[in-house]
Amino acid sequence: MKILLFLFPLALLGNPEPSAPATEAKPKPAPTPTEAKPPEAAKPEPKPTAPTPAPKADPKPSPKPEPKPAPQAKPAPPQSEPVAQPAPPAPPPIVAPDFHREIRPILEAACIQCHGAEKQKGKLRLDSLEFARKGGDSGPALVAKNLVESLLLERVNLPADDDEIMPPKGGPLDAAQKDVLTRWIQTGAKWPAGYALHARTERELALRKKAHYKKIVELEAYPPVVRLQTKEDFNSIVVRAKYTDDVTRDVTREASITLAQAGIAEWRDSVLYPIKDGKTELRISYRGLHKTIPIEVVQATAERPISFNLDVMPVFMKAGCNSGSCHGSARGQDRFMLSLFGYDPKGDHFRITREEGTRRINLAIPEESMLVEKSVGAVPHTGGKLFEKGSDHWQTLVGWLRDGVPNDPEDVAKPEKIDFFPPDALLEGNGSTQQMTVLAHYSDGTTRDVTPLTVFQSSNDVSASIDEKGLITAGKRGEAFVMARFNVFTIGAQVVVIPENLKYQKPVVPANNYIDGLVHDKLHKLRITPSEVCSDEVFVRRVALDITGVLPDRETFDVFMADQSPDKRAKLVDRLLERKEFTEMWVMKFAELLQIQTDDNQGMSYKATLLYFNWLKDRIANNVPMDRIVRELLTSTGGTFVNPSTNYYQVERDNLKITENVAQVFMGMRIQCAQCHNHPFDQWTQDDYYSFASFFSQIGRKRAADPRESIIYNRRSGEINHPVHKKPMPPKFLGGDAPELKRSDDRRVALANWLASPENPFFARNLANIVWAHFFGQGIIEPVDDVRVSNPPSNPQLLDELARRFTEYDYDFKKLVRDVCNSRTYQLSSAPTESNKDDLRNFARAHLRRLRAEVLLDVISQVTETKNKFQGLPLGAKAIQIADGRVSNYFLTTFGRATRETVCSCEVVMEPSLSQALHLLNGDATNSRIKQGKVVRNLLKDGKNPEQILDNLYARCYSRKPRPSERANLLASLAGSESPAESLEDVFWALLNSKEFIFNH
Amino acid sequence: MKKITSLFAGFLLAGSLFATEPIISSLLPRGGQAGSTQEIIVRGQRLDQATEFLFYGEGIRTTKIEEEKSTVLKVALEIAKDAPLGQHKLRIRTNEGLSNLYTFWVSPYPNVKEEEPNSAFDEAQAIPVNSTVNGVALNEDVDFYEINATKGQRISVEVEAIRLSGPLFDPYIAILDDKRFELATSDDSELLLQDSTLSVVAPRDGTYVVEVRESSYRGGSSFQYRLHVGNFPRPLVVFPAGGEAGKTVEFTFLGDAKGPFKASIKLPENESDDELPYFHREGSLSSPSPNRIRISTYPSVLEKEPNQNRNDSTATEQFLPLAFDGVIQEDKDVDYFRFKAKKGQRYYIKAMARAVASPLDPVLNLYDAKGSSLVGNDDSNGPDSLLTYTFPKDGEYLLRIKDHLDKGSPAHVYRIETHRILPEVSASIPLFRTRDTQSRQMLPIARGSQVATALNVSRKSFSGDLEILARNLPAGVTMEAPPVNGAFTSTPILLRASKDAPLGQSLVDLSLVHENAEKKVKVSGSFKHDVALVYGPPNNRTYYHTKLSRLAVAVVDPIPFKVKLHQPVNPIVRSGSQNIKVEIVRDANFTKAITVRILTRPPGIGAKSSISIAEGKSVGYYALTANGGTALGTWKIGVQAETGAPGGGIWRVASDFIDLRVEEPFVSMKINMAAVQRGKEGEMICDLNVRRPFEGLATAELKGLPPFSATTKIEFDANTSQLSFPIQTEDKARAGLTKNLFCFVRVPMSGELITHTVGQGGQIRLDNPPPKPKAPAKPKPKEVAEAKPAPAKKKPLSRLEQLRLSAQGGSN
Repeated sequence: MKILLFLFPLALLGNPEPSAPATEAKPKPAPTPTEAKPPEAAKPEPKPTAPTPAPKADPKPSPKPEPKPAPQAKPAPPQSEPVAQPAPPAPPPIVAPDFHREIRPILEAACIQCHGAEKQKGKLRLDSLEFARKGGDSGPALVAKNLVESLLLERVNLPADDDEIMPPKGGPLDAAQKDVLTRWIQTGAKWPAGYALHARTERELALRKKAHYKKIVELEAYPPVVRLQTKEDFNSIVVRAKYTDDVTRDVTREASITLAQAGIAEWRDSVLYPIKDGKTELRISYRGLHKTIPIEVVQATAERPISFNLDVMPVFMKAGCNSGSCHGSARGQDRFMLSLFGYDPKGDHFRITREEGTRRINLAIPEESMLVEKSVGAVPHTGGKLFEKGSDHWQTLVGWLRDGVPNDPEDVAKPEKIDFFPPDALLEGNGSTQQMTVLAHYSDGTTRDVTPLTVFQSSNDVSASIDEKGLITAGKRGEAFVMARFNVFTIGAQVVVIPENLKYQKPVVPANNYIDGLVHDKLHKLRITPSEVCSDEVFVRRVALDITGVLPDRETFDVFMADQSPDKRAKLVDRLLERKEFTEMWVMKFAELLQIQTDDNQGMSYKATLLYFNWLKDRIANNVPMDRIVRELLTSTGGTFVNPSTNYYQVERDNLKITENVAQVFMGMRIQCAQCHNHPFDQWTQDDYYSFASFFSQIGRKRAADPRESIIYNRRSGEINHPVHKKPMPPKFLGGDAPELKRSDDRRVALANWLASPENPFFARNLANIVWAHFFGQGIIEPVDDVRVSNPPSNPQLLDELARRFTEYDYDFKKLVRDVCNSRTYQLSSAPTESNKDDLRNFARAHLRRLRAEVLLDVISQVTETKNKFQGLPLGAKAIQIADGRVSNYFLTTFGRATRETVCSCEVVMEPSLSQALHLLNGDATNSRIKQGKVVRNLLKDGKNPEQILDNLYARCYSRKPRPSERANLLASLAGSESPAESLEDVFWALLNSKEFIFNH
Repeated sequence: MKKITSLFAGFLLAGSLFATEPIISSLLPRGGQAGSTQEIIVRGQRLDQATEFLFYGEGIRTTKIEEEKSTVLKVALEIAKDAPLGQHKLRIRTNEGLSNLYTFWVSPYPNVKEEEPNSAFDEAQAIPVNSTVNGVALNEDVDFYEINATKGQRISVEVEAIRLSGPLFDPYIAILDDKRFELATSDDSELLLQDSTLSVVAPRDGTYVVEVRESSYRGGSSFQYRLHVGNFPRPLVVFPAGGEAGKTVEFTFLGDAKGPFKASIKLPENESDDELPYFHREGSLSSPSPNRIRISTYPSVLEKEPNQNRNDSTATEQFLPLAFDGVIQEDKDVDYFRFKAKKGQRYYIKAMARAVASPLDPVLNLYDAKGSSLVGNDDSNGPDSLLTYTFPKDGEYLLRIKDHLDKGSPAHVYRIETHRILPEVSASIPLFRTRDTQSRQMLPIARGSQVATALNVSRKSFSGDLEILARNLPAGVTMEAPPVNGAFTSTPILLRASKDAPLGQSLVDLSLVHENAEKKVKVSGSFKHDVALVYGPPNNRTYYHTKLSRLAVAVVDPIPFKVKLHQPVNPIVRSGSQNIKVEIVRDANFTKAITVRILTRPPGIGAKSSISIAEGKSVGYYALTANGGTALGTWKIGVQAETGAPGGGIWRVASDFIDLRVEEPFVSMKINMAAVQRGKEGEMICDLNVRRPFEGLATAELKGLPPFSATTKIEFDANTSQLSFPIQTEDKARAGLTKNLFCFVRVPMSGELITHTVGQGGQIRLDNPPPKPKAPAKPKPKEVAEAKPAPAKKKPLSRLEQLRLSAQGGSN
């Protein structure tokens, strides 16, 4: 049973280098009849060192006897070097045209669309020499050196109005093209071995042409090493060029690719197949750059039996059989269940072969098994037809059935990782493409090209779509993250798409610190220019709200504005960081993540809540490094009153939920999915989940003397069983190693030591991201607690650097916040530029952020000089100081205060709603507070005139003076007022209801 | 009608005359100093005509009871100089009833009142040293008190908050210096649970401030506290934690700010005391609350280090019972004891740590001499441990004790006591509502009337009959208590007050005695009442409680009705039922509706919890049913009649006991399954088994038939062995199976009928008519119709026979 390859529509077809010129060596006695090119001989000739193709023109004198000067009819090849010497001085020796440069573009543009792998009109295929020779309904299309019998020539030369003329669309070929074809056939229709043609659009050909004027800096070829093992093995190759402007192009079909030594492997249509054991290399050249890929072939003639785990299961995944909406559903579909995304191959084997007797399989006639017939749509199937009869997937299934549905031995190789090549792409121009290739590494050291078995997805189809064969096609300007999923692995690559002909000059922007440099690098990739730096007025309000959650008081404002020193912003940041409000802000944020809230009947008394909150407050106020706080939390033991950090295990008492919460809060990962099946969008498997959960399986809880108190301790025993095999998994760090643990060890200690250490790649990154999100309104990974392969950071380098610094700072929040606030990026204006107006994720400008509920209430209280009362806090306390998640009021609830019922950062609601607007307009939040606080009346009492009061109110609410137009309009309207106090209060009310007030900008 | 209304008006006017059941809802201040007279204000309901205070202990008497309103009393309490310190339990008796239990606290120091404002450090209220403040923690209220101290002086603070039995008041205290720095804080303590105590040595001369608040800033007007501030000693833990009765033992007191100190104490010999509340005195200064020293009748073994493993254990040659005293001195410390025990003896082995105010959370393990584990326990007794074990042979055993979290310190004291498991018995009044341990736990008896209560009897390690005796009944009161059958866990008692019994009250000792002269067994026990005084989350757990061993009984003013239960002539049979006549004897003009409740039922007897007798009516019937397993014999039962008293509260009066005879049934029955076609007639055949002969004709009634089907009552005599009920069904009856048919059989005896419920589980199936043949086969149905009556008349067919027949018919 051979695993047939899908004919790879490996996408890009280029205007190739003349790698295989007309000179043809005698074919080596290779096992395949295909010609092998003698690369050594070929090489020197076509490849002069200079990359410009100009000098190469000379071996191609104009071919035709007819006096047809080339310039008249543009030669088809996009290689636009003028076929400069049209003069045919001497007897015209018919020169064979270059296949890659001249023949391919014509065939690809005009013929292959209808006569290729996809469609075969008239049963004719022209995408390979064999097919062309064989021809279609009317006979062979191509007969070497026979101009009469080659139907191809006949059809293109028909009169334009003939029904049979080819190509039927886009007008007849021009004379030059016809001439090239004629010459080609005359000279024997040379077709380099292994080259298959693919349909190309004009658009692609145009893009290809453009790229020729750009300078390449690097040629990359993937995978770096190829190892072919067994007869069925193969490997696809992707070649990519990188240009001086960072743009990348797939040049696999343009480059000259030859094998150093024929007979070991076969190179066919961008794919390598084994022939016999040995070593050789693949030589790749493109526009003067070279690259080689070492190739090793072993067991070239050995058959590889079809493995259930390695061959059959991937088909279920690729074809979508085991997806959640089909048979992967927990109850299966139409009474047939497969494990979701294949988390339980053993169970699947049983269900296919045994569960319903032999209903699903037919070993006597494998092709007629229900499993097969349903998938090819031969019998009615709710899921429809999934693949063709005879396709590779079909072959795999049938082959496996023919072998007698063997199950794999216990020690069958397991995929250990996958590579996704190339790792990124910057595509220029709508329609440009990049083929991807996926290489799986197995536990037995083997590798396989699993591109045909991989599921591909793009996060942004508008910018870059990826088809099921792994071909990325660029769309609109933007960014996309394309993902490959094979077995339990998901891996992604970042794709940036920029339009062609973009007018962009890399801006010269100063960098305040490392943050700016990294942000600017990313912006350059996207060809985006950041906005200007914001004004001092905007900055003082923004930074005060972000760091302290209150508006700058009069003194802070005045001191800052009067300061003339260049580092006045940094000084302001330092001053604000010393305020206790900074601590309170972060206590609140962590209280949310730790779900500090009372639930009397779930063992969280108000007393415990308060003690827990005060513990957290004490730690953060004393600047205890975050890693120590986390360690204290996770390893806590004792009574929930005596040692309040133990409340971490009391807030949530389900050990699996604790596992999930730890991953989500401290690593930013949602691993919930993996409780029941392998995570569909991330790398986490059920094994990972239960190995991680094992750290929490020995938490003991018992009642203390006070009924409200519990004692948390290490039980030293107890396991959580894996739901598939019903056995416990040994503790293993999520994405890390398995620690060595003795029976008496507290597993949580091992976990905490790893979790809050630099060894854990996620901890510092997650915290840095949380800090970043606070100051920018969105994380570098957004949402902050949804770190997964398929939700990559918008600027990975920036996040890594922040994490590195944070670790270096010994997890000191203040230092990180200082870096963030001092960066130019944080201080950008919110006014967009032409290039960054659509950008949402790369911090090219400041974004408006509504104040969160607690801050808004505090700020309203601040400007109206009124006081709030919350349970457990004295009159006049701030909303951000509330200890208990259960304590709220109408205002806070309306504006979306977190209820602390889950660890999700999504609990804080920032979306505006009608009730919020109405509450501000009509509720007691504004009007009655204005009256109650008597701000205007007191100012009047102090003898201030309306103009001064206006200034005061503007400074109070907006941290700025009124603009002249505002001042003039307001004074004019106040002039006629009978009651200045009331009118000014109306102005105050209007200010409080303005967007400028409720947003941080 | 008009007459009645006016009469009621009369009652209402004289409402106060008939008020019952006084309720104390607050008593302020919550305590006073020993050797003083303390004026208190009692608030509640129906406090008018409060005549006397009923104290459960010695040392306090009332010198004045002034009624301000029916809801407010002004009382002067004279507290003797030697009145025991701490909690005193009391009830108030009015002429109509007895109140709920309330507490009053006696302190050694003069009492001061909290004066607001004292909610800020700068406004701290100055108080004399060695005084007790009666204060209240309002919502989010923090109270500050200022005292002076000289360098080296001890400052001790203790607060009574949760112990005052109000809401769940978990206090927090702190001692601050004049610069606001905390010298010490206390939230919860092992000694006083939620209540806080601490002591420090003043670092310099100057003023110090004591802060008091609810630990989570809760509060309210009912959050009363008593704060003792002074130079008194405040030891927290005693080592050893106990000793042998009658011996003089040297104890070390730990936890006081001035360091450990020692005292030699002779332990009392009184057998009933298992602990000594010990107030340590330094001159005139005494701790406000005691340290509790355990007393055992058997010797103590004192830990000797090293004893960290079984080879280095502290060994004794003595046999159990023994007590083991020791300290888990440091983290990870483990103590082993080696001792001897006799084969077959069953013991409770209790590790007491929280019980002796130690922070230790003990884990106890028992091993045999070779170290093989026998049994272990962590928390069976709250945080303390409890093992129950029968020693399999004479020999050596090992006990290991350690802390659950491997903690240790010199204060981690423990005492392991061993109690031979002996027969025990006790009785208590059942609770009438959940989370209510006070309602109806005392017995007010109207003069010339009688009340009753059920008692739940709890026996441990024995079963047998019991006799209930009462001592110290109020004058003119007698008790009737039927002997308690060994199988019963509930029994009634009845108390009667003669017409001329004086108003008064007493605490009655109820004792339960089991004596078996042959086996030489004598077991005795007493009444017990555990009063929950503070409830809190989760699910209203009890946070603070007190135990009573005497029953409060009072003689009060008469009430205007009596209840009579008529002795039935016939017995009730197992699986039978009986209606018992209840009669209300009303005073003239008393017409109110009355509810009658059965007191307690012998096992197997079922009854509604109450029946009501309408206004003006005087007779009702209480239906009793007996299940198949009801204890045979003659049992005392009684009822209690109750109705709302005009001033609130409830009047209760009990009937005399009557004898309930339970006998075997006369007949039993099996109902055979029947099938009838809808709209047709059929039969229900019942096999009758007459187990005891009877005279005359009995009747049988089939019950539980589906709708639209009917049968008739059948009469039969003692010689009948089968009954056949004709069944008529209507067309509209629904087809299907009906289960749970049964039969009422009434057997005549002594001119009355004894009801039996027999034949439970009978089934009848209603069938649809067979589908009519489509072809015009008219003659056929006739054939069938003619064929049918013939066999039917002969003999009723069994279900199987019917099936066979229909099978034959089908094959034809």
